[in-house]
Amino acid sequence: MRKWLALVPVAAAVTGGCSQARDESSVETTARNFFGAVTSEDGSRACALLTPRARSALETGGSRCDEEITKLPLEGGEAGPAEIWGEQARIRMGGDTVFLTRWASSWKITAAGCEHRTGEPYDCEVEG
Amino acid sequence: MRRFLRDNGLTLFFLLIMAVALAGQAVAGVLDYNDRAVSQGGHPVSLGRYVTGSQFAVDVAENWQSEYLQFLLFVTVTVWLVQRGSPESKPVGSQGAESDADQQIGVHALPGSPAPARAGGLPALLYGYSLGLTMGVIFLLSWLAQSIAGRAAFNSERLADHRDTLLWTQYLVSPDFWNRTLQNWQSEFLAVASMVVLSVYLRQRGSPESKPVGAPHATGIEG
Repeated sequence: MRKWLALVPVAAAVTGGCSQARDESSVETTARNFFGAVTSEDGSRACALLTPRARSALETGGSRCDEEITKLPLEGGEAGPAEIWGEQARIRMGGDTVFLTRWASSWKITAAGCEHRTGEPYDCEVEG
Repeated sequence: MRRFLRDNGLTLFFLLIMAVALAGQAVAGVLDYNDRAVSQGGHPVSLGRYVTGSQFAVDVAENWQSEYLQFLLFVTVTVWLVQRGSPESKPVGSQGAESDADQQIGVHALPGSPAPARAGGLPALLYGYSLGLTMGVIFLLSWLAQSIAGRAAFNSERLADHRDTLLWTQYLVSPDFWNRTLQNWQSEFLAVASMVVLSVYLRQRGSPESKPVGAPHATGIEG
């Protein structure tokens, strides 16, 4: 019995590690797909990866998300390590920083094209 | 079984209501968390995900650490400080760790005394402080857990606000960590002070935490 009990934290660590690796991979894939869609001018595919609130932020004054998103200077690039805390994540893609939130079993982008500002929230091209 | 329940009723009662309260906290907590998540444009989480997450962990740990600190201070400070007339205090004039005879250690041990107390020396020394040490270790572990889970929850909020995250050492000096810590400490300290002083003048008939109803307020009933 005691031997089995000793395996509980080991199993939890392995499970947690697998879950973390899966999340990191999913975050990177979402960000990569987003920049891929923007650079190939597939606005509707890019907007589908945004949260509803981020999408709405591009739809002010009668403009459409799928049209606006491809006009923004979103280039992306090589993926850096993903940082994940609970339901939130951040990943660097080339010169752009992307923020994501867990959305059921996948991830959606809350902000993209973000630049660092010391002591303040990032300055983002898209955010909601 | 009935005898076991009767002999351990006090412990079992508090463990039971603690479990009920913890379950209630989990349900209320996930509803509150999801309400805020949706209002901030996020997606709700399941109860299972919430109770295994950092927000629930820090909310639990910050309360646990303060409770164990309260009892750590209560069992150690009452060695040296007294309150005349309080049943929570030793009699005035008996401050300190007391003699081996008073504490039934070594040659002064009784037939039913615990083995370390009968052994004397280092075993009795360690055993003589085991209650405070245990409370202290649980307090420190709970506080450590609060700092780790608190940092995770705080960093999640920071990312939701599109801000940089903090290292553990940065979180330890952050307002969030000390606000969570001190708001719990002040309430525990007030509760102890209230219990010590109110029990001088007020009574709860039949309770070991109270003096007998007819006991004088200030004269030699302490302890």
